[in-house]
Amino acid sequence: MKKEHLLKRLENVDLPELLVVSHKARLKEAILGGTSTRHVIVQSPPQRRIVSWLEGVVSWLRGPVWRPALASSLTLIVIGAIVGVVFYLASPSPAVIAADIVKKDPGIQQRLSGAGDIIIVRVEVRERMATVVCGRSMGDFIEADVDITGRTVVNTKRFEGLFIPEVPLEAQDNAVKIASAEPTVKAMLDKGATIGRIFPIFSSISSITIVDGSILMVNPAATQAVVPIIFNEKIWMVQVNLEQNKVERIIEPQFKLSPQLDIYYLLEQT
Amino acid sequence: MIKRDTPSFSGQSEAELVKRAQHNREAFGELYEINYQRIFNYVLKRTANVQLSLDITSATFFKAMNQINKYRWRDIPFAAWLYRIASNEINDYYRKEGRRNISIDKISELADTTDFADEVNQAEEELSKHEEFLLLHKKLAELPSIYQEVIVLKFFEKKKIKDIVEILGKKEGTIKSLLHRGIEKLREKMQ
Repeated sequence: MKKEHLLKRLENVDLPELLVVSHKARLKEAILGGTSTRHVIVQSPPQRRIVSWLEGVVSWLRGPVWRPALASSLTLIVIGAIVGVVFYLASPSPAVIAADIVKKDPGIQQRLSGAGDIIIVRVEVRERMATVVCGRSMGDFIEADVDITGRTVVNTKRFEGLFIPEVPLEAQDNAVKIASAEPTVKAMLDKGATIGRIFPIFSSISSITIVDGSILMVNPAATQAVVPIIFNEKIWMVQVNLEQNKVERIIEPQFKLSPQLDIYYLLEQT
Repeated sequence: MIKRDTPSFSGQSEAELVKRAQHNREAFGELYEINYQRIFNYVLKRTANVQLSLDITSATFFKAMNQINKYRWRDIPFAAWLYRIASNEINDYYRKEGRRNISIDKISELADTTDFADEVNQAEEELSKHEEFLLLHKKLAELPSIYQEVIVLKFFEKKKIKDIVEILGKKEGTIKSLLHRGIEKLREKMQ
């Protein structure tokens, strides 16, 4: 084929221009979730205006008897409202209460595999009920239905979304290097073990959200990572400290390779 | 063509909008609205796969969101930075031999509305009608990624050389050389 002919084809090809509207909307929602907007504080009027306003009130109160009585009643109502608002603001929101219930529930503590504190990924509140997605480092995720009024967890089930942990590439290479130098790991690798998909430790993840039904955790500055070593159909979790270039610990196999465990379904195979 | 300092639909210049976006999510949302379609379609032209393109587009904007604080305005369009992130995501995907974080089939299965699945199906159907593009893409995909990048940017995205320089961060001479060699290699593949 002549070069000119190819160039013409490239220049004149009918190109696709598509748009998946629902993806655009949902991605935007996920990205902008946890909105932090700046609140502009309106400055109070100058002191002079406050003084003149007070003077006006005092002169008005010097009128008929009913005026002081009305003023007293209004004052009590205002004080009561302020106390109510303060109390309301000081009270935790239903979402915070639901998260707290989940974290302290003994059944959930027992149910969640993995190590470390329970991490709350998402809380959705509907009236006096909430659905909380939570998990633990190197464990699975669950959805817990919470009765906020009764302060109990009424139901739990495995979170069906996918798990998308991400560690930057250069950190991944470093993590593999550190793990491979560990004698126990080296011995397994020498016998044909393979390295799975590297993922971050929850405590060092900078953002966690849910996108299209999957849990997305982003860790641009990974300091800790886990290198799964797959050997004899079992998986050893090698926790690596990227800052100190050392293996923190090796966790004995807790998971088998299984398509049901989505994260391991995605691991590299031999 | 990437327009420089294009006014956004909020009336601000791009430079002002980017600066605001570094500490205001709504401002980033504006940048997202302006750039979503061009990034998605660029990825689509690179991959010729709707679902993969959605995945990579998501990853691109998440990365941009997380790294925007480090972005320094240098009178280069913001879109150029997004193109570069998207290119890196695409290269990363293929470097890992196609194994990414999420299973493409699983996205379809787990979509909690039929609207999403329907839209994706429609998009795939629409894409399948572009036979000439798919044929060219098939041959293009056999080339090293650096050639794919420059060819797609030049011919499918209709970028000028100076735009490609800004996106890929390479010198003009390098880009021209890559284009020349890329076209030669593509021509050999098409024989």
